Amino acid sequence: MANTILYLINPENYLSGLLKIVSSLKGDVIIYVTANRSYYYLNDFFKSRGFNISKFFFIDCTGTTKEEEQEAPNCIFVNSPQNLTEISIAINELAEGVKGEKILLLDSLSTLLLYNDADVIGKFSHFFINKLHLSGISTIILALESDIDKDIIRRLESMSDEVNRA
Amino acid sequence: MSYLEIAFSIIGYLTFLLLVLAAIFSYNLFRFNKKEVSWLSIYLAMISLLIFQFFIFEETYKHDFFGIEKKPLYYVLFLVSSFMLAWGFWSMNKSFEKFEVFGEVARRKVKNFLDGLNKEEKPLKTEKSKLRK
Repeated sequence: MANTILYLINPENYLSGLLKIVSSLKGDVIIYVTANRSYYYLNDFFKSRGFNISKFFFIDCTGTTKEEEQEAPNCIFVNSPQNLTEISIAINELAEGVKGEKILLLDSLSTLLLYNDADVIGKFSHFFINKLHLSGISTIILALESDIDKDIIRRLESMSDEVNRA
Repeated sequence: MSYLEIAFSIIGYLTFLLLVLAAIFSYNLFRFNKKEVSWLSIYLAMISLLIFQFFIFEETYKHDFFGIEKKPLYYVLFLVSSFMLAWGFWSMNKSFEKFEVFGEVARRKVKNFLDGLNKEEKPLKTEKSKLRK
């Protein structure tokens, strides 16, 4: 069954928290939406920690990758974290195209909030959580623990099946 | 013909041309989502404006409806609004085309990724010993 899990990560141990979460993922395909660090950084980071990333498909919306470097076969590049339409298109393509057990990891809601209005992100999260749930995709949303008092995190807690800390 | 009349004619033709462009762009927009028939209403509105420009506007010009002192303002306002319509629809077309191109790229990448994935089936993680490093 497709679940939605919200992880609140301590900003001081962000990468170790991220590693713990990623190492616990069991799926045929992991869709990794990153607004936090670029595809190239994460690619090297996971490889250096011994992860086999052949099952990872990235959506890099950091907007920091140069155009000539955007030919990575397992990554779709979105030009800005503000471009929620392109992020939705990319998620949609993956939701419809990929068969088997899929997990989507959004890294992170806190970064998207830096670039977008909280209300817009609230609607966007609501849309994609429901869309992914209907497509049978489990969703993991990362957010900073320090954002816990924000209204949107509370709203997201109500949409999630589980809320964990890492 | 006075200079003012020549200027009005040029502005009139320019307005007409901009409205034609706006009508074409609005029809293109409808083609992006043919399921949404209500989008066609923008195109129909543009056609109505063209008819207005072609017949009524010329009549207005001939019979001096608004008086010579109001005419320049009327012409210029109509030109400016036609320009904004054409520019707005052009920009919307560009955005939609960009999303279509982006969707194509995304589809191609997802397909290539899945083809590659089907060839090799590997576990998500490598051995634990490697992880400890």
